[in-house]
Formats: sequence, C-alpha cells, structure tokens
Amino acid sequence: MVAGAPRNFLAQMRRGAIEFCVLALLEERPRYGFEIAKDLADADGLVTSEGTIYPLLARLRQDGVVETYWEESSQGPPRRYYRLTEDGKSALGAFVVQWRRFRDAVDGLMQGVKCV
Amino acid sequence: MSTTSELDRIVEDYLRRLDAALEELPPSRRVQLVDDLRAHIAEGRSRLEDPTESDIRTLLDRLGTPEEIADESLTPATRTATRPPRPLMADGTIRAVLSESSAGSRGHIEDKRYLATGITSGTVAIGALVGGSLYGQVNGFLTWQRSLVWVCALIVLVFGLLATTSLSLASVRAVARPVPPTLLVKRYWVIGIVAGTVALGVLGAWSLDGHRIGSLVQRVLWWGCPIALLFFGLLAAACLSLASIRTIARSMHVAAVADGVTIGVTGMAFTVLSILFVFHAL
Repeated sequence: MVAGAPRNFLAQMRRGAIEFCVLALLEERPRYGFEIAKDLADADGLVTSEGTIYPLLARLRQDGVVETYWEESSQGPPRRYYRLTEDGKSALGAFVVQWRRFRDAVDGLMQGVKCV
Repeated sequence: MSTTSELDRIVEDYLRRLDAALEELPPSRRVQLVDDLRAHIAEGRSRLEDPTESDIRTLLDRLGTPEEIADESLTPATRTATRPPRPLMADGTIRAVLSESSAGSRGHIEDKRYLATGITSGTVAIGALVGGSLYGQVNGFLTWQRSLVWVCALIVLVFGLLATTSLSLASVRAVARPVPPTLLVKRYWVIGIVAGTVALGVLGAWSLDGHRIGSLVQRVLWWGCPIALLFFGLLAAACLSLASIRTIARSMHVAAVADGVTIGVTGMAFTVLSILFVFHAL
C-alpha cells in the first residue's frame, strides 16, 4: 500500500460513481447542464472541473440513459434540459442496489478501525 | 474596469482553445460541446452582476482547462473497448446494464429506419417518375397509357412525400438540436446553393428538345436530366429550407417549431416539384 492510494481510490471511485450521481439528480427532476454542474460541484466537490460534465452528459445521452429537450428561459436563450429515460431508471436502480451492498460491506469492515 | 468586448474576447479565446483541443472529435460532437460550454458560460455570466475580468476568469477556471475537457471527451472513444477498471463495478453488472441500454439506443435505430424508409421511398418515387415520363412522352395517346401515367404520378406524390418526410426527419434527428450551431446552418446554405445551381444547369440542358437529338448517348443523357434535376432540386429545396428556417429559429431562439416547419416546407417543395414534372411529362 502506498501513501497516495486512498486519494487514487477516491478519484477512481468518484469517476465510477459520477454518472450515477448525475442519473440520481435527474431522477429527482429534469435539469439543465449548468444546474447539474453546480449541484455536483456543491456536493463535496464531486466535480472539480465543471466543464467535464458536458462530455459525460453527451455520453449518457449516447448510451440512451438520458434524453434532452429544449425549454425557453426567461433569463436568456433556451436551455437544453436532461431527463432520465426508462433505461436510465433501470441503470440507476441496479447501481443503487449494488452501491448499498458495497457500502454496507465496507462499513462493516471499517467499523472497528480507529482513525489516526 | 473591463469592457464587455474585453470579457467577450476572453470567453471567445477560451472557446477557440477548446475547439482546437477537441480536434479529434467528430465535427457534430465538437460543435455540440463548444455550444454547451458557451451556454454554460452565458448562464454563469447572466448570474453575475456587472462581471469583471476576474469574475470571468474564475468562471472559466471552474470549467477546467480546454485540455481537461478534451481528455474527458476523447476518453469514451478509446474507452468503449478498454474502459479503466471501476471499483464499484467489479462484477460488471452495472456495466452490463449500461451496455444493454447502449445497444438499445432507440434514437439511433429510429434514425436509421427513417433514412432507410426515405431512400426506399425516394427510389420508388424516382422509378415511378421516370416510368410516368416515358409513357407520357412516348406512348401517351392511348387511354390506358394515360391512366398509367396518372397512377405513376400518384405514386410519385405519395412515395415522394414519404421520402421527403422520412429524409427530413432523419436529417433533423441526426442533427438532434432544435437550435443548431452556426456551422451546420452555414453548411446547409452552401449545399443548398450548390445543389440549386446544379439543378438549374440540368434544367437548362433538359430544355433542349430531346427528340431532335440523334445519338443514343445524347438520348440517354437527355433522359438522365429529370433524375438529376429531381435529385439536385430536392437536395437544394431541403437544404435551403433547413438553412433558412433554422437561421430564423436561431435568431429568434425558437426551438420546437423549427423541425415541423422544416418538414412541412420541404414536403411542399417536393410536391410542387413533382407536379411540375408530371405535367411536363403529360
């Protein structure tokens, strides 16, 4: 085990989980890109570079887990809104089941660990 | 205090660097990403009261460097085959779910269906048009032959409209953006003008009296004119309709109506074109 391992692990974990965090945000209600980027950045820095959210959104759309539509905005040009598709809901549901199992397993093992 | 044009210049410079960094992406994805980022910056700016240069630079810093965004964008192409291991996906279940949904990306399948329907219907329409023209020109003096010409005309209209609608839908869906980027609109203008010029040239050639042309090659060329005219005329009508309507839609920020109007106008253009052809043949 090297000293930087936890940080690498967190970075990898963030990368793996980020798309499902986006799906979770969209499950609540449709959102536009700026909103998604802000919400993720506010959630303990899940996204450090807000611009990288757009390639991710394009990928999710290409995968068919989200779809987009345009809505007029009173503050300027129309906004591209993202919403979950049925496939997206299934993917999110499957992730949540596995995430809870993973989290419980890790929590169980870490319970007795005393942090230095 | 920075002026608006100075702030604009900083933003444009960032977007130019982003565009350059995304060079390896397919043009449509590249344009879409730059447009998304442009919208993000505009949204951020609209929330700032009297933004200064440092506000804008902070906004751009939060976005990340163009290279970071390019890295994230370019990964999927290479990542599809060799995605880095994901700690949360050790048993591959979630990835499998995503792969299934990816395979079933119905949008792409529907696009292909529209394209296939359009091409098939277009072929039938052109076949009927040529058949109708031949009978109308050569053997049109008998009643049953005249009836056949009218049946052909009907087929041309029905299948032509189906072709136009399907092809318009396929192209609109492929673009997948109601308010399109300037670059795509420019392309439509260029294609429309070039195709229109070719169509006019073909029309000029066709106006020669074919029956006076003696050689077989000249006759074949003369009969090829209606097909070329139909093809280039349609292409010109579709592209110019798309370009003009989308230019208006873009300037007015009108989103939803653009597609419907495009399909409608292109369909009408095709109908007029078909009727002209059929009357010419009769």
